[in-house]
Amino acid sequence: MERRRRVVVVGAGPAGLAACEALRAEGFAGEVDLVGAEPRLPYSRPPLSKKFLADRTAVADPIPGAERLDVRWRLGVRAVRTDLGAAELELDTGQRLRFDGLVVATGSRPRSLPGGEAPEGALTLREVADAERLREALAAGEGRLLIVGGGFIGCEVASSAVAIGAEVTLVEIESLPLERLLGPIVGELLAEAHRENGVDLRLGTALQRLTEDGGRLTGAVLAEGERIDASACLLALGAEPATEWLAGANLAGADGVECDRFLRAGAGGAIVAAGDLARWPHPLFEGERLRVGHWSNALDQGAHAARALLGAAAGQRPFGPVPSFSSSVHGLTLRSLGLPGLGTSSGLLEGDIAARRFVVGYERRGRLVGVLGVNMGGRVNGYRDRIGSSLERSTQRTNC
Amino acid sequence: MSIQIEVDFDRCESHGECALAAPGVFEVDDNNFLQILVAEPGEDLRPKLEAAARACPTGAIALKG
Repeated sequence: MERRRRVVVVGAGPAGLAACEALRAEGFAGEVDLVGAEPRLPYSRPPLSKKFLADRTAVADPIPGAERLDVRWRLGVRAVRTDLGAAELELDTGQRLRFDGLVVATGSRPRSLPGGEAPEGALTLREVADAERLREALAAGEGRLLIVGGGFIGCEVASSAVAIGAEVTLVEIESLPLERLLGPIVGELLAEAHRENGVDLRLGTALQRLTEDGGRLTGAVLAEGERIDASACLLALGAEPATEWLAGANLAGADGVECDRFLRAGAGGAIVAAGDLARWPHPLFEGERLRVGHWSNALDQGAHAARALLGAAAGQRPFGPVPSFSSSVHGLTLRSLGLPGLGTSSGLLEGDIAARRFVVGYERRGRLVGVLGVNMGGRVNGYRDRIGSSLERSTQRTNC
Repeated sequence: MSIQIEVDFDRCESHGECALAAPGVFEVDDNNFLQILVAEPGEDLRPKLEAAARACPTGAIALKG
């Protein structure tokens, strides 16, 4: 085991929380500082795009066990810089924290529009404060919500918003929602579900610009010149790693923090990374370097990274569980195992597409790399052992 | 003493993340309903139960005791 005395965990989301817990579970008795930008205990993020928006009294649920962590909490505080030479972290309060072990877990942030300031009323969704702003905009009840981007966040928010009576236009540049990630079967179903539920779905078109009047959002102009009136806009354009505080330390690459198989990011193993920003070679996917932005991945990686930091036995195995992800859109539960987005072909594995209960498989080079179940959460787990290891061609192929 | 599992079935959407985190305790059946398979889970199952509660995307699982 490495002899460390003072570990700083930066990022109080699921990865940071799991890292702190694992440090203590491994018997680390030194100091642990947990630095979190939001002024609240680590909380469950997936409901923010769903139930949270529909219920004005909903509050963010702390992640079970968060209140029991044995750490020095530094909440409402941001890391602004890290100095590896001095082994110091600088906070936005001006305070400096020494460390001999650092867990990098600051996650990601929503992508914004390229260039220029978005007008008031253009929202993004990541944190509780974002969800509260979106909820207020929906509750104001006047005018239309324009959602730019038909990924998971865009689809989930569209679904939550129409369920409480809002008018919604969803603009997606691809020809079907989530098509690039989940293929045409699921994309068609999502498009159908949006339309059935009253979402004004605009596919294969892009946002040209948002329009405003005196700083206040009035709508948008689409690529073909069509105008959409809207009183609020959600930019759901995906997420990018939140790594600017690492810039001087040469830890962050163009797409996150580059890690080895054990999630070690540098300084001879004194720095590890976990969660949305960690890029590592995943053993199940031919060692391809990946970032995985799933909730459960952040929890698993946080614990693994902490064990690697301590040199504990469990941290000396490569990190490689099968990723798992869940979403719900217009009452359809979508559950994936593995990484469907890596697939180059997809096909029905079981169930009935018309009945909206089925499992789709995704293959690359003859291997099953992921599955996605619609309203079949129970069946999806059964594919876990086949993902990544399967060499047989098991899906009925369709081209996509 | 056993742990009490409370599932809020108004929230549960049968994603099956709990069944992945704690197989043998949770199962989504063929009718897409969540079943709890262990009536009185003991302390030895706590880490798995906590992992299941955390993994739940709808926050439907609470542990008491």
